Amino acid sequence: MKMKKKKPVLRNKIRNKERVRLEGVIKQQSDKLKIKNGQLRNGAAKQIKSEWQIETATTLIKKKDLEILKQRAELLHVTRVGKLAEFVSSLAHEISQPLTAILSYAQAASRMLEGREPEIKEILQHIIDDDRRASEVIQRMRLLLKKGKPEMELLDINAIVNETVMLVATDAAVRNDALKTELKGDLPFIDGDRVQLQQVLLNLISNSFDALGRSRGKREILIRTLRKDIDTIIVEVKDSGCGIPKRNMPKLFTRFFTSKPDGLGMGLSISRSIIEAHGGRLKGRNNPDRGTTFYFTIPVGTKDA
Amino acid sequence: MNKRSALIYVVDDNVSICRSLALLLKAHGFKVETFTHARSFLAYKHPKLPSCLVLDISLPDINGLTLQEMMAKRGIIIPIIFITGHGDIPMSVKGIKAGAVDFLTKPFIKNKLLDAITLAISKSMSQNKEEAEVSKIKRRIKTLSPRELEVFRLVAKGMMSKNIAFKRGISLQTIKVHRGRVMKKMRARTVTELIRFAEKCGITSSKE
Repeated sequence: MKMKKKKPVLRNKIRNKERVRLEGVIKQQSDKLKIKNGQLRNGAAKQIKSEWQIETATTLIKKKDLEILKQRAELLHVTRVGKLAEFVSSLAHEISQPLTAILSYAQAASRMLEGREPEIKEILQHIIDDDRRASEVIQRMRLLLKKGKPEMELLDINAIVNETVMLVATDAAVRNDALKTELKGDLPFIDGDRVQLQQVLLNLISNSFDALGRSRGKREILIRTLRKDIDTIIVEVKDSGCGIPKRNMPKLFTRFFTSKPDGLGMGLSISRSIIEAHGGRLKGRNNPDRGTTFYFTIPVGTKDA
Repeated sequence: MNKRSALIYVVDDNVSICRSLALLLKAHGFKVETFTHARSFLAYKHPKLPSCLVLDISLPDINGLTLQEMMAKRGIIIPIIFITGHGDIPMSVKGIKAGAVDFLTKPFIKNKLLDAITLAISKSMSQNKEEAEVSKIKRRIKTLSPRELEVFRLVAKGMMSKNIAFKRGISLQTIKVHRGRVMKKMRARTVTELIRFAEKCGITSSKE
């Protein structure tokens, strides 16, 4: 009996003990589970995060691709311009060969005549002179193509205008365009690169030629130099051409923007950067009556101011 | 400068340039030979005349600058005037550094060419004179006996007869006899002259 009486107590004790142990195990397990769960959750979060990153990366790649495409297009254009320079350079070479031969033939013939046949000798001299004129044009073309740092020197802007006008005078005559200059006397020297400034003027004049070609009526280009104030000079190229449509005005100086079918869209943007490198501004506007005026300012040379 | 004895070579792949320059230079009294290829110029037997080469930089077979190097290697000593249709500055610097007389950009006026040629011919004449003297000295050296040549070398190095005698274990008298023969065969009036001859032919730097 005693045993029987004791048994339930013992049983209870064992049960209690067992329960505590089991509870402990359960708690332990559930803690582990919690940790696992947390880890899982964390992992999932990480994964989600990286997915988001992948998406951003993809957009970025797409963006870059677009940029590359754009750059490639620009590059193609620049290459075309580069090809043009190459073409002009090889053209200069090809022309210089026969010019050399003509010059030498004429000089040899002139030498052979010695004192005889003065009239023929004069003709030969004309050939020699004209050959040299052509050579000078080639020389100038080579200078225009030459890249490199600007060579700054004190320059007479009127002389530069005159030299440039001389370069295009024949062109103007052939086109039947009047090319006039109105140069202010007594202008101070400016600090600049001769070739680059000629390049800007050539570009503005050739734009005017194109504008005249597209218009009917008076065909005139007027190049003026004037003094804006004590330390600024203005150079103007005014034409009576077709003018610029209003909508094109804001894009005038944008690289690769062109309204001409065979244009490169480089001229004005290069011209503007040249003028800005000289400390001046290049602008364009339509004239009240007809045609356009492009003008740039250029500071008076430091040594002269 | 005696123009009639001066020979101008013109090497340019452009036939018109060859022909016109030949006419021009002949009209000025020069002898002229033209070539449209660098190889035919190299194969040509160059007479010993005051001469000058008017050379186009860009030739189809051998580039002008390479031809300049090849000539130097083969011992063809002719002053060069480069001509080019491209005004290429770095190339001209290279050419001038390698001893070209001038570098003309086509088209050039005759005065520029004639000035350069005058300069080149006078350079050629002094080069020829030098070359002739060296070969004369070399011919004389060939007449020396082995013992005489040895004495010549030692004298050229600045050794006294006494020292030579001591070094070679030969009597001073014998050395003096050899030395006398060397002077006579080399046609040197003084020891200084003998040393100058040795320097011109690079004898001093040879073996002990």
